[in-house]
Amino acid sequence: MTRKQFLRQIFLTAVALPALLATTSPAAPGLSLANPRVRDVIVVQRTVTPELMALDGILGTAVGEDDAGNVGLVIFVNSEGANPGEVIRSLPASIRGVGVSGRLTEPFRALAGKPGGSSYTAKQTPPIKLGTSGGWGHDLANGYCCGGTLGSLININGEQYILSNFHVLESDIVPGGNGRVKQDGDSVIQPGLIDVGCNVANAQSVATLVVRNALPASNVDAAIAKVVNGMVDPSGAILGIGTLSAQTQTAFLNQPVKKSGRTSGLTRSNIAGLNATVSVTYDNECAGGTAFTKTFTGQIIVNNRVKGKSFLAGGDSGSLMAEDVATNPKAVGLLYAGSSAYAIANPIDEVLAFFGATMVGQ
Amino acid sequence: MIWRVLLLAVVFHCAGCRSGPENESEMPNGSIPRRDINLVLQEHDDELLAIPGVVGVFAGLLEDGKTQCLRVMADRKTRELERIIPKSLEGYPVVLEETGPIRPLQ
Repeated sequence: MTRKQFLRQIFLTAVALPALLATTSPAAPGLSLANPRVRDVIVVQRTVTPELMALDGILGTAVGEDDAGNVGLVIFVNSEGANPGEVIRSLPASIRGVGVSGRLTEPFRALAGKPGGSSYTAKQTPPIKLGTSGGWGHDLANGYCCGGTLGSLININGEQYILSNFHVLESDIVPGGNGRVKQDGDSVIQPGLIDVGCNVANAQSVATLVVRNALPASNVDAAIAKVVNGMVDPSGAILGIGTLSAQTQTAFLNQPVKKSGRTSGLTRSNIAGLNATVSVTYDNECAGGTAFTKTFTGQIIVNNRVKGKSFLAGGDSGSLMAEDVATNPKAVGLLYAGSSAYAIANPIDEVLAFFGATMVGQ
Repeated sequence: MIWRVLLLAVVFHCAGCRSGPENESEMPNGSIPRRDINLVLQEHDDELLAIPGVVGVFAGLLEDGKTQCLRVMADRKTRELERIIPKSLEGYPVVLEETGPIRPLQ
């Protein structure tokens, strides 16, 4: 699930949250209730949703945009259902003149905002452990907020930096919907805005962004932020995993691996492929337009379906992938993208070489 | 675009022919010299990724967990793709998979 889809299900799922639509204040102009087209779609949505929801594999509906930017009816299809591809293909192109687009998604789950929530999304008492929700402190635009995972700790010239993805910390490259772009020194926060109701005051600044512009030029989707003194556990401990080895390991086929991430927490899988060439499309800000499509080479492919659950889900970007051993595992890759079938990781050695860094570990 | 696809199909067909039969199972095990699979991948990844609908390609294993193969990731597995993607490249089986698009997962 992309962040756009993910956030739309939070902000626009009129089936589950009709009151939210009615009270949303400054929404994106093209998708606000003031938009006549949105109102037209809602009328159809309210009529057809009960029937749709009665069908196997349908999780919900929403008002959204298709790939061409047309306002229409979005139907969420359970990617963990019996035959999601068939369900998607069976959807009509339009209902009563309203365009229909299907979106695969995992079953909706309660997110942050309540006491006793997941340790991976909860605000921690510093010094924080990594593998936790986090992001750029200004990642709010177009009526949405975004975030990912603060994955691990690295060392550059004796200083400690949080390692995450370019598209988690540095993706805002146009003034666009929030009137700003990422800057050196911007706050990197824990938890991410998506887990604090888009209100930065409910999060804490744990590091400051060091802009390196890894994409689109380089072969790694990586970004770093310099640790604020006392805010991050200097051992580099990761939730559910603990401390890492300072050494790294090159991936090999069938290798057991694990990661801790904001959405799916601690999960395990195995390496399905090596030396992959993959094409990934990026947005230019939170819920923004397309920035570029990047072709990566030499990537690590990981099985993303393990016993019916995802190894990597939306919000887990930035997670460190390590070998699946109990004590001080070696880092293998930096996770950043995926499909329903596979997760994708940059080889960790290439990431570290880009920054001139080493892993913080034993 | 059609000419480009046809040209790619010819290129792949010829590449597949260089090492012998296209069906991996027809080859006696170890009887045909092979280049390293990563070299084969490196030579063909750009052409494969240029085919509309293909989102990735990598070196993996068949379902037996031991036979090396090339896996082609497709947004949607269509008959057109099944026709265009070669069944093997330089002796390595090529497996076409419907994976959906690859997205950043923030």
